[in-house]
Amino acid sequence: MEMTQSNLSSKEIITACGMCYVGCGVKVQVDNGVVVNIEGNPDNPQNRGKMCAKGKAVFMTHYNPNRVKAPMKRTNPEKGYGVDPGWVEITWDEAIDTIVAQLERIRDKPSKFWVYAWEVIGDNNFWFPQLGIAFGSPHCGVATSPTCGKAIHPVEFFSGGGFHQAPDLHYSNYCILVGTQFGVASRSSFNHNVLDMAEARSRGMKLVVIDPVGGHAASKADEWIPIRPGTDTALANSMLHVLLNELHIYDEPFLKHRTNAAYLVGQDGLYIRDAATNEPQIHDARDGKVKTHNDPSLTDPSLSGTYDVHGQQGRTCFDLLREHVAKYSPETTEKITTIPAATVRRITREFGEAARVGETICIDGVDLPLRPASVDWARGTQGHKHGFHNCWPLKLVNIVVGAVNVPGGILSTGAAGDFPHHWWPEGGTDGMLEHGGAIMHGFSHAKAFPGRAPATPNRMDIGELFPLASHFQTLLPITLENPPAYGLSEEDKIEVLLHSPTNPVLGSWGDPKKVEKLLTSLRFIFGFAVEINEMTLFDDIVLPFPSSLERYDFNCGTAQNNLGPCGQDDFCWTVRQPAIEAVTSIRHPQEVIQEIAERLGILDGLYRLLNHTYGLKKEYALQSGTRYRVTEFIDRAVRSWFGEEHSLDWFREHNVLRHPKSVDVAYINPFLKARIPVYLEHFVTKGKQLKAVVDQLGLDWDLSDYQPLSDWRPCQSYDAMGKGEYDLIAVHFKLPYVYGSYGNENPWIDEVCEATDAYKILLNAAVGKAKGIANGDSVWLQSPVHKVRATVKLTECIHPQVVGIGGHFGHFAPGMPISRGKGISFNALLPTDLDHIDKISTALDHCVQVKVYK
Amino acid sequence: MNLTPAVQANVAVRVTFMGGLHAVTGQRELQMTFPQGATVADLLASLSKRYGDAFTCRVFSSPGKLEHTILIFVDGEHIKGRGGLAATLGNSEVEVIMLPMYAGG
Repeated sequence: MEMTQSNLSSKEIITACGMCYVGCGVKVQVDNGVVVNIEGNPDNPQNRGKMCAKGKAVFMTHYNPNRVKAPMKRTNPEKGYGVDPGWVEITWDEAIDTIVAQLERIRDKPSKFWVYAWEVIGDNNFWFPQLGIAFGSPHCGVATSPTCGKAIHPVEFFSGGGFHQAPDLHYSNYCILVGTQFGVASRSSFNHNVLDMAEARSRGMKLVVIDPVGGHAASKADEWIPIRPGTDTALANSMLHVLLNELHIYDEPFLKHRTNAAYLVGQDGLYIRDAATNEPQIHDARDGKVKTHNDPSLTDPSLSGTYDVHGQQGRTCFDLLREHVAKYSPETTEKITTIPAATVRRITREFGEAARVGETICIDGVDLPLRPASVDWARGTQGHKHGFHNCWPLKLVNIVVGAVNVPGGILSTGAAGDFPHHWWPEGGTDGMLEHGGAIMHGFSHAKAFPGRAPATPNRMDIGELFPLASHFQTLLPITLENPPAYGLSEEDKIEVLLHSPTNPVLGSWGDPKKVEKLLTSLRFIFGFAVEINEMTLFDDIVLPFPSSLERYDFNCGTAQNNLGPCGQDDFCWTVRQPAIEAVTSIRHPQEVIQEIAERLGILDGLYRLLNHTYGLKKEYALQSGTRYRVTEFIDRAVRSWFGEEHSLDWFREHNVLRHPKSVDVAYINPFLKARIPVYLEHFVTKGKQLKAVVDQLGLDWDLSDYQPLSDWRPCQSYDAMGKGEYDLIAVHFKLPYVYGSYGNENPWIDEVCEATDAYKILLNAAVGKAKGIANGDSVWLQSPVHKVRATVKLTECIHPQVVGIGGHFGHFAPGMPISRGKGISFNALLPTDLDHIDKISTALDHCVQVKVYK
Repeated sequence: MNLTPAVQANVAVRVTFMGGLHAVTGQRELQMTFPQGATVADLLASLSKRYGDAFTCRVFSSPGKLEHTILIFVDGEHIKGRGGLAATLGNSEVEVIMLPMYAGG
């Protein structure tokens, strides 16, 4: 039939983007069954009609001619890089028969099952791990990167109450970004925050970016300050020193009443506790008595001084902090960070003055502290040998001026809410913030207080030896090499892996030889796939994954879950719905998971977990013995959460449900019935407990990071400078149009990357000149574990000791003909062993010594 | 309270372990009997005795306080709604689950 404008079937579907974890609201134009355009949905507060290049390009991923559209099995039992799996298409019955048989084989040893669930978020981020839990495995991970979340989530849950942090750009006048491109090139809620950042800057907010790479964020900043990688602890301690000891700018009432700054500490580094209640004690300046932190008569906690408590000399946490950071004068740390002392003093003074300590603001009739200054940090500061302590004192800079969860300060994402149900952070042990808030029920907070008890491992990732860490998957290439070294049995090694359609080979670990060894050590791997990427090459069974344009998800992104926009922007819930129907050979993974669970006899357990995770009310809970279409599940979920009137049909039509945020939900700290720390007393205890366990195992671990106040310690790359063959440090940075390695095969994204030199490595122009390297030269880039050809882009916008590498490129899978051979994989340069792992957070050190030569 | 199977034991409890606890107990399910009026706390005390410190240190963050990674359901209902550790057991199905932590990215 000849197609004309009048008979063209045209429709617009309101749904959510799926090209990264944010889940922006979009409107998809479908003409005659073909997606022809995508626009941002202006009614969705997550992105307010804005889109990024990735989202605009989504239908090129959907229409990728190399997409996996039917189950496949490998016919070549040999595995490894460069090995052709010999794929043949199979039926779903054969695929599931094979998977179930493999899981039946390890039924009595369920810890041999490993679920890698991060899936560029949707419901399967929750469904996949629940299958593993119901099966009985401890190895069910909802994390992928060897840096992401390693420090931010533990820190946030005990010092903010939420999952992540974000500067309050609505009121901020001074924002320092350290090792992050928040509001410019990265992070959730990306498109929302980009607009907030632009508005804040046009309002006059000063933006200071401290980063080895003068990238996208620096290009928008008032000031870019290059810093030597892995030296953020020194910078932060210097800023604390200037604030506390030189300028005497700090929020005294906040520190007294809302932190543990006044808690008394004995010679052993532990709180001095009340003999009867075991509660920490405080000196009350009003009556000169020492009393417990929760004593109703406590009026004026002493921030400074030494007090006799039953013969023990107790010093305040605040004094200990102030004394500790005095070691870090800007002149001292200049030699470490390369940031001039005068610059540190200036930005600290500007920050301290901008914080306007003591001022208040009235919002919606509620008087709140106003602290329009914040320091934000993320991936760049986390990915280090001492990643936790590289980050924590940066948070402390905000805390000492009271700029935490108040207007203008640093805010916690997803910490509290009153719609569709109530969630709120709560205090606990020692009166401190212990229980973070989260809208979803079914996972534990990745919190670091009070910490778990260290124990002899039975997890193959030795998570028991990291009692303060949030996830442990990063350790598997190391620990599976030699389980007996950690008290584990070779016989208990993981054998079966279920993975999501992301690409952990390029993004989850380091040294590619170790990654290959890890994956070839597994007897059976089944995974969902959009395309045959480097991870899929190791699969035994590949299952097709519906694209975000043909998929349903109740949870369509972190922006509506735990990484939403901060401040008083509306809460919103969106359901992802298909713009077009998938071919019949593609099934919704939720339905596949149910079938596998039923065949294994664990469907009831799976439902128990899902009902809890989603908080489904009794009448909407998944019922024993029934299998559900994905639409039935989502219909139950939305009606359970939002009432009968908000069925799936309602969301199909309207898609976006908004709810205004009250002041207390937006700015929780003044309403929080818990204190936040300036001194990490429990690190002392956990360090001692851990030492006893590692000693028993015969492990020679340096546990010096288990200390209550942060000290700077060098990464190996720092020590390597000038001592041997390496003279540069490679670091990674994010690009606003690339999310991990997901989407690299998209031709439009590839075009943007080509046009912006994203595939090139950045080298300081003066360094290049000295080495005889010109712009566009092909060079060898060599780390201690990997050597690769790269193309150089010379720039003045990079620290002279640094090589900058963006994105997650370096694809080699035959199923990725567009992206194959372009750019390099940064992670492949990283030594992967326990000497490069942060003993607090399990972060893999992401600054690596390299040399560049022709 | 005598928690071992005994003459006066009169409630039968089937315990199911999910998540990381199977690796500690080595069992997916366990049949136990308790005296009338026994609670979840009694059940956990009995399990601690049976499986030792490896169980106790993973389930409790301090005496009487469950680790935040632990979920317990009695007859399909979260114990939070039944009085927590004081929840009474009948002839019950008890699920003891160790959850992973949620950390993204």
